[in-house]
Amino acid sequence: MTNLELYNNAFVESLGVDEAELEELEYQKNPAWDSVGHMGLVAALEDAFDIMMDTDDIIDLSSYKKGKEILGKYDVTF
Amino acid sequence: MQINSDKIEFLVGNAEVLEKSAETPVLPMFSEQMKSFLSDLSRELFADPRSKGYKDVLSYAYWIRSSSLQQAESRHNDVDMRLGRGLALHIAPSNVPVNFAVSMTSSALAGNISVVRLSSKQFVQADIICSAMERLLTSSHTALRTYFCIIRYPHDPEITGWLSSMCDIRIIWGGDRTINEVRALPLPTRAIEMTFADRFSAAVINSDEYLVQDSKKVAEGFYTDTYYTDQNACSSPRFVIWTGNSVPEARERFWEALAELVDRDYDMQPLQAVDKYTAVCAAGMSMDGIKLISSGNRIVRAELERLTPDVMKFKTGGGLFFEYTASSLEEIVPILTKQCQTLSLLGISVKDVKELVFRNGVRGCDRIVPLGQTMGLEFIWDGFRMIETMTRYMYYDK
Amino acid sequence: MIDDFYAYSPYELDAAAKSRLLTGELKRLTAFHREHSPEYAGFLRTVGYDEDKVEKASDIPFFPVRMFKEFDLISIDRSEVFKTLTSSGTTGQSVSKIFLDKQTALSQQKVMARILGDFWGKKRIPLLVIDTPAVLRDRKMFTARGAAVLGLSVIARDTVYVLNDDMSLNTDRLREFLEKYGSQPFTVFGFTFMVWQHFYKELLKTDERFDLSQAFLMTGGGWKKLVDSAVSHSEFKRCITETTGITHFLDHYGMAEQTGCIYAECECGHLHASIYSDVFIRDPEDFSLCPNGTKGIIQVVSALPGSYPGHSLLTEDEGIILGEDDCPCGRKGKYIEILGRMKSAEIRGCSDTYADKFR
Repeated sequence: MTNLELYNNAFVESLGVDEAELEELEYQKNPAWDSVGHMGLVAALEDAFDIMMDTDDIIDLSSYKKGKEILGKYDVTF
Repeated sequence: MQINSDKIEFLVGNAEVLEKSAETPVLPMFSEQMKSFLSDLSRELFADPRSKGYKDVLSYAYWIRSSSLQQAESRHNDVDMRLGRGLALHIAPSNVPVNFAVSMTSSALAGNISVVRLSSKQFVQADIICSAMERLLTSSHTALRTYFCIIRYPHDPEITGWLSSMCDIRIIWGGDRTINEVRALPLPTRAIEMTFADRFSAAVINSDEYLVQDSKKVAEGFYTDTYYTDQNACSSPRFVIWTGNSVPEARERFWEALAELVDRDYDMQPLQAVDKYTAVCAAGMSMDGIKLISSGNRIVRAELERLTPDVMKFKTGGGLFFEYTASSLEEIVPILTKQCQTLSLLGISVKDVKELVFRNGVRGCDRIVPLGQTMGLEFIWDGFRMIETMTRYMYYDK
Repeated sequence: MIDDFYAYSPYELDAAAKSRLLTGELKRLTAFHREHSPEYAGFLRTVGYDEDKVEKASDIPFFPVRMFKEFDLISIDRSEVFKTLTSSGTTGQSVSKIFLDKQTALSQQKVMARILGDFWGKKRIPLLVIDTPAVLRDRKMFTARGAAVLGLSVIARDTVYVLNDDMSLNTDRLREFLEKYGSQPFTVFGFTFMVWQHFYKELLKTDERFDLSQAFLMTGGGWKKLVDSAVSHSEFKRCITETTGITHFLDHYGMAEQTGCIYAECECGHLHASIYSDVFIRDPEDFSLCPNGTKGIIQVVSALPGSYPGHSLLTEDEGIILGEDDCPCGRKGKYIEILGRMKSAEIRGCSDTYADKFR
């Protein structure tokens, strides 16, 4: 799987959202992505790319788009 | 000694694991197989649709995910000198559903065989975690099968006594009565004991700082600290102490914002209304300077003229707060007694509080966290570094 | 003073007249207990009592009934204590302690006599007690069970206890009583559970038939234990009628903390408040008053407690006010339905709480 597929997959699997919604997805805007969903998402992303995210990055992870930017710091490129 | 294990219900493990535990080798601290088991458990829990409704199960899953364990490990520099002590017996509390798992995780990462006695009260959360563990221990992690037993049995000093007689660490969570009852049962001479007794906690808020914050967010955090566990977790604030120059305004906004959430989300039983009212009245009958200042019953607030730990005798759950306005931080010293566990802060410097504790040499306050984060799971609890305390430190000349 | 009440029959006054009489007396009692019980004064301070704002009985602060389990609440000199009443303590180890002086004990009996007299007439009638004489043995320190029996026996003529000390049914005594009084009105009194367990069930076992068709069966003490053994109110009545012939039932609601002021059941099956007491239903959300017909927490007020601050109590029972001044039986005042104890909540958390001590 490509990094993008892994990335999308983590969102779809952990939050149970449609792939079509991803581009516009933001924290607290979608009922599935609340503080509880956030935990599952972080765990799924870390698993997918085998990384350990910093607390600041976990907090900053506020949208689907922003997430890609953050993962850049961990050498995940799209 | 032979015990009738028919009375014991095994949610994880079986009687054989228990009986042979003395021969089961202990593991090194943060052993690879244990970390791998726990991170698989994390995945299993996130994947279980039943977990969705239980924030505490998901918080636990999040806490034992691979990177979180790595982080915990990286904070220790003597991992290669530590290994398990043997059998760790956990007496779990009767009312915090996932507490048993937190306790067990610490002893497992320390390298022990973990035996957990769950309370007879049934929790879905416990079932979700136990069934996930059982699935893993019978498939991908059979090698760890002999390291876990999660059991339930009706109150029976004979069984608890039998388990105590073979354990190396006994961990008791519960009220004073439970702890004293279990403590009466003898331990092997080399065994150690950790007790997690009933505590109280306090929130300290700087009114000026509060007013520049998003009141809704603060309320959400405070709700999680309190109402989410019926305000009965030891870390749930029961005192709310105000400082700064805008106390009346901040207080009004704070309680109003909280009321909105409580009205929407909290399911209050009629008896809780009576319990809270009774507690405030009893406090006011026993000491001077207590005034009931709230009008509704969902959030019950009593104002104190003088800050004293004595009112904690009257603490009850479900949203009862003793409020006090302090002119300086120094004024909180009287409540930092042995029973005081967590101070949660908003707009107050951690350093100032830490110095206050050290300077005064008080017996209480084991933990300082930001307001809204008292429920965070940590490997340090009630003044114990949980994992280390459950290991054996082997000294050798490097 | 309480004597003012004796000018009226127990169910004579309508809402307005009753309120005038009761509110004044409750205000007086509040002031009296504030002066004589430091704990009660502390309670009034805590809830911010302001006497000037009291317009009606429901404005008097409600005192949690559980306080009698934790504090010795007494508004008289200890040397004036005539009797100490303890509740049977069905909920755990803690027991209520009620201190009575002569005056209060006397008005309790008087009021109970007046209330019951309204149901079975002024004439004293024989009393058959479904209990053992042992309930009364220690006169100084007795239970609510004993108090109720004693209260009744004072106004009855010839009291006979039909259970032996070991709770077995004494059929000889029963036969004797019925031979003597069975053809005229008489009262049978017992706690619901005792009547069921030690009377009804024992009668089923004997071949002998006893005719109690002239009796009023007066029961009390709640349904909890019976509900546990899955017997409903109507089932209870049906079984009793079938076995004993009893058709007059007189259930009642009351509490040790307000002994005397019982809420007795009328022919329509309603529990009535007399002029000596009243009932308010409080909304658990904010303790505001619930309208008639709405379920809530029961508050009871009574004009009798002179020696202890029990004149306005918040109970742990739930109930409904069915109506006021308009029961078809003709009695004035509120009539209520009792729904039973509030359920204790499944509480999360790890603490020993103050409330737990009393469960």
